Formats: sequence, C-alpha cells, structure tokens
Amino acid sequence: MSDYKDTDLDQNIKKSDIVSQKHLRHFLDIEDLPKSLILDILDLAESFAGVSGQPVKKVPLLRGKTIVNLFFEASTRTRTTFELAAKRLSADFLNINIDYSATKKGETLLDTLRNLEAMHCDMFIVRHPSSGAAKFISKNVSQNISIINAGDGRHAHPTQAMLDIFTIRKYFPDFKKIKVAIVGDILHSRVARSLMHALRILEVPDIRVIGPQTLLPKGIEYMGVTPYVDMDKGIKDCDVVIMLRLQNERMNSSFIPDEHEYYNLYGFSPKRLDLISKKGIVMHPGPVNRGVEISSEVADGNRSVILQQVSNGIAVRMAILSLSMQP
Amino acid sequence: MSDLIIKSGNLVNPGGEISGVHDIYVKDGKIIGIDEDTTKLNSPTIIDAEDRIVCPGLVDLSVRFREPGLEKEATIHSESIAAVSSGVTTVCYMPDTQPIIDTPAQIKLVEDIFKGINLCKVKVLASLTKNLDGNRLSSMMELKQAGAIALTNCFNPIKDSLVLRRAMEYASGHEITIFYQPQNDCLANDGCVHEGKISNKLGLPGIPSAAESVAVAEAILLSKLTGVKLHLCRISCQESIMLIKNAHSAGIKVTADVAIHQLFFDENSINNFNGDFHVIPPFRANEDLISIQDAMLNDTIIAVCSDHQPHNEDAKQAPFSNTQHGIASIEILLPLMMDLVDSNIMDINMAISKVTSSPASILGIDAGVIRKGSSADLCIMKKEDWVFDQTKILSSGKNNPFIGKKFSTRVDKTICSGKIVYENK
Repeated sequence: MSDYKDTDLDQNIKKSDIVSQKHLRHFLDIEDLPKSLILDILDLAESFAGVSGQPVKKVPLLRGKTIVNLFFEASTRTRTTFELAAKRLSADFLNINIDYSATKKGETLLDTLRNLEAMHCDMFIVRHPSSGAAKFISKNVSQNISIINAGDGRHAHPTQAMLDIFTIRKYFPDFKKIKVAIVGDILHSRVARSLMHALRILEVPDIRVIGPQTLLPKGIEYMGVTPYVDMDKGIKDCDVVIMLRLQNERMNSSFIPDEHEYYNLYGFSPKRLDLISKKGIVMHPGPVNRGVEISSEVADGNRSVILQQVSNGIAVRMAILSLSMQP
Repeated sequence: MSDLIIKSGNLVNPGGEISGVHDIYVKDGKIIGIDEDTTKLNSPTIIDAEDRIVCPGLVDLSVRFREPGLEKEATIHSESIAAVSSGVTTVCYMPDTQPIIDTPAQIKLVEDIFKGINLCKVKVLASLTKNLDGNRLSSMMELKQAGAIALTNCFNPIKDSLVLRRAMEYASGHEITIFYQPQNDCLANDGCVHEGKISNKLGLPGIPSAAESVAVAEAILLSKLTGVKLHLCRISCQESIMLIKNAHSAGIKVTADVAIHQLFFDENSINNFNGDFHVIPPFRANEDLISIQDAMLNDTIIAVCSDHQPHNEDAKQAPFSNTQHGIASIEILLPLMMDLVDSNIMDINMAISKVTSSPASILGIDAGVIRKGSSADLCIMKKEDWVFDQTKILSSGKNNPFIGKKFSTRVDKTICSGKIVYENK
C-alpha cells in the first residue's frame, strides 16, 4: 500500500538535490540525475582536463571555500583525487579520517557532523561503510553545506561512475551504440550500482553484469541489465569491459571456492581480449588484484585504460565539486 | 470501583455468542449480565454507547515496554497509556529486557509494576534459554509456575537444532507453549531489508525469505516430533504461509501471528533509506503482502499483534542499517485493523477476532470475548475522522511510519476489569 509519509519527503529531497540544471545541492547518487546534467558534468570535466597539463595547475573557482574529506573508511585513490581536485579549484582543504569502529563506540555520526559544522565548512566529501550514509548526512546538515558521496556501503559511488563514463566517452562518443559489461562482485559493489544507473540514463542499449551466482544480487534484472554467469558469453563483442575488484574477505565466506577457480572463470586473461570488440577497452576502478580478477598483461596492456581512469578522476571531480558548491 | 452499565452499544464479539445492540452490566470488574441486571447494581455509572461499536478488550501478543533496564526508551507506565488508548487490555510482555526475564523474580517484578499502574493486564513471556543465549535451557517449569504464559527466545537465534528439539521436548512434557520467532541466523547473515529489488537497489544487505521459511519448516517438523504447542511469531513471507497451511492439513497444530505493519507495507516502502521502515522480519515483496492478507482470511494466520517496539530518537538517527529495528505502533493497533475493514480487506468480525478472541485462544486465557461471568475488558469505539499526529503520540517511541495517516475509527473508551482506563477527550 502507500507510504504516504516517505513519498512526500522523497520528492522534496529529490527536488532540492537538483536545484537547477546547472547546479547541484548535493551529489549523492546518479539514479535521479537527468541525462542532460550528466552530459553537462562530462563537458565541464572536459574543460578542466586541460588544467592538469598546465604549468600552473590551478583555477580560482572555489577560492575561500573550505572542503572537508570526511572518510569513515580507508581509501587512497578516491581520497587523493578529491584532494587534488579541490586544491586545483583553489579551495582550502582538510582531510579527516575517522576510525569508524571508534565512532561506533563513542561519538555518534551526528555528533561528528555537528562538530565539523561548527567549524564553518562549505562541503563534506563523505565515504562511509553504511549504505545510505551520505543521504542521512545530507538530511542532517545545515542548508549551506553540500554533501558529495564518495562511496556509501554497497549503495553508490557516483563520482567513480562519472569518471568511468567520462573515460568511456573518450573512446566511444555515442553511448547509444555500445555494449558494456561489468564483471565480478556485483553484489557488494557500489561502483557497479552507480554505473548501472549511469549507463541506463545514457541509454546504453546493452548492459551486462557477469559473475558467479553468489555475487549477482537477487533482483538485478530490475536495474535494466542482463546477468551472465558465463564470462566468455557475457563479454562477447563488448566495447567496454569493467572489471571489479574481488575483495579478499569474500574469499573467506564461501562466495567463491578459491582464487584459482575465480581467475579461470572470471579473470581477464589475455586470451579473453579476443572475445571483446576490436576497439574494446578494459577498465578497473582499482585497486587491482593482479592475477585474481585481471592478469598483469591485460592490466598493463594497450587495451587497458585503468590509469586514464585515475587521471580523469581529477577532472571529473573538479567538475562535480564546482557544480555542487553553494554560491 | 463503581458499577457500570454500557447502554445500547453495537457488540462486535466474534469469539462469543452475543452480538448486535445490547446493554452490558458490570460489577466488581466482571460482566454480570447482558441486557439484564442480575444483582441490582449499586448506583452504576452509565455509559451511553449508542452508535458506538463495543468489542472485547484487545489481546496483544507481543509488546516491549522496555522496563526494566531500558527506561530511557520507554516505561511500562508510558506504554500502558498508549496501549489502552487503542483498546488493548492484555499485553504479552517479551523477555528481552535488561536483565532478561529468565527467573521467577523478574516475572514478579514486571507483574507488580503493571499492578501498580493498573491500566492494562500483563502476561509475561520468559526466556526459553538462559539469558536468551540459545544454548542452555532456562528453568522452564519454574518460570511457568511463576506465571510465564509461554516461553520465547525473542529475536535471538537457536542455532543448534538439537537445542531447539530439547527445548520443545521439555516444554511439551510440561505443557508449556513456545513462541518462536522463525529466522535462520546464518541465512539472515546480518541483513536489514528483504533480499530482492530494494536490497539490490539501495545496496543494503538482504535477508532472503528463505531465512524465515527454513526456520518455519524446522520448527514445524520439530513440533511434530516433540508434540509441543508451538506458536510462530511475526510471519512475513508466502513460503512460510504455505508451510503453515501444509502443517494444518497434516494435522499439526501450529498457530501463527503477523505484526500489524506487515499488513500495510512492502519492501517498496524503504525508498530513501527511511529508518522508520527498518523492521525484523523485513517488509517483503508485494506478493508476500498479498499472501499475508489472504492467510488472514483463510485463518492460516489467526492473530495480529502490534509488535510494539518503542525507541528513543537516537535509535533511528543513523544510516539505515545502523538504526534499531522496530515500530512503536500499539496505540494505532485497533484503528489500523479498522482501516483494513474500511479498505474491504476483511470484515469487521474477522478484524476484531484477530486481535481479541484468537490471540486469547493461543494463550489459553479467559479474555477477548464478551460473555457473562468474564472480566469486563471492553473497548468502545466510534466513527470519527482523525489524523495520526506526531505531536500527539502517547508512546515514548515516536518511531512510527504511520505518522500522518488518516483514520476513520477512534477508540472512545477502554474498560479493563470494569475500570474506565481510557477516555478520548
């Protein structure tokens, strides 16, 4: 039946997340973004991409603004590229790593937020192990603070998805003509969830997810994707293959028998390059487990765009930060 | 306590023989006559119930009033007020307090607090295993002799099937009823929502329906083996219903209830990570919701309870999976049942039986029926449009996804043992 209360709330938040087509209140997930806005972000990122190549790698867009990286979970790549993005936009920048287990024992998440709010920051970039944490924080901070989701549990990692589609567009400008496969631990992957939304909104006609049944979530078909258990069938003729990291802890909880079998069935070995389309590219959000989900030969080979993804991450995050900053 | 005459009320009394418009005479807390004053009442208080429905006081199979030990969340006093405002006159008290109710002294403590407050009656459930640890049997017979109406392990799992078998065997020999909340802990795997469309969309860890139905199957088969009187609590999925139905066909006498909120929401309610929708068992797929409604109609599930779980504000102030589960819904139990009547999901006799005579029959107590000689536990309700307003919630727990809902029936008066314990003003 109806959920009279929550629907209204949801509508309000959705409206306020997207203040105008060219301006974001928060950047929490991709699901509700209009296609035009996604393309605007990509275009803006394109204009920032040049900044990194200049002798003076700075633009003064966010001068005088204070941005806080609020990470409740470990990260190297995401944390660093956000920091670089903020600094290239001339913002003041603060890194706060919070041991999540410590906050669990004492200070609540809300108390942590209140304290940081009191320091008059303008934006929080949040990573948290619980799904929905970024949304929760966005509902509980004062009006003038923007929240950027840098990964919440298994739910979303929207900036990673944006940089992935930015990278894809460099090779395949027309999203309506490509086949994309996401391979590996779909169940636990926030990157996969955000990517599935982004690709759907951009009208990619053939989105596939590939993995053992234990790592393909129930209800995946509602995301508008086709699941495959057989990797060779799944990546056949794909233009883009996105490999996901297999987290080690999964190995110990009987999701898969062992690394060896996983690599045989789902690892991107050199011979699998023959199966994808002639101009096909291989991606990975990092960090890479070499020899588990991808061979070094492929990861370092000429079809791999893994390092470009990292570089593009800075430009895309610059675009998102500048669009989300309150005037 | 003054004597009462409840005049011209329209009796809805599914467990009893009398219904329709009658006068009820009450003396010394008991119904002494219907339409006849058998002993000449002493200057009775007269309640005009014309155009009102009069039904038995509700029997709620599962409440948590948090006392002792968790008074920062709620107290027996605060929640008793909420209970009687919904016509509830008997509550089954779950043992997962602090300390856990696993000794006769703790049963007596809870009973004494209820007696002191004197609003509604309590039937205490004690823990099935010591400290609810799922391994060592509690002193089951001592607890029964001290007044425990049944034994339960609450949300705590009994992982070892042999322990469950022994508990059931021992209980069977002493004619102790077991209330069992079926959830296979390994399959539930720290999930917080139904495994399906929404768990996938929101990236929240899921609890598959099989976590419940596997446990239901195990419990039914062990009850057949041991002959225990088994009551399955808070059923949520269609597979469980199928298993219970099959058990009934095979002559296994197992009973089952559902929490009131499971008749209103499915997994789709949990958009936007709203922690008020965090319940165990979780809101399942729409097909499950429909199955539960059907199971009510064909009496596979014979009772509805509030599953009242008040929390303080902090409990829901976190990302979804970190919030405490549970809804504080006792004060709208009857209005929600009447809402099902208004929506033509069931008729009024069935709706009232699910919260009065049926739960009383599971407990084997003399309650939930209006009849001469019974305790005068009654609820008088009236047609009135009203909105469930957050600022007017009586329970200490404001964790309630029904806030803002419109109702068309309101409890006018609640009478418990002949005393007017609630009046809507």
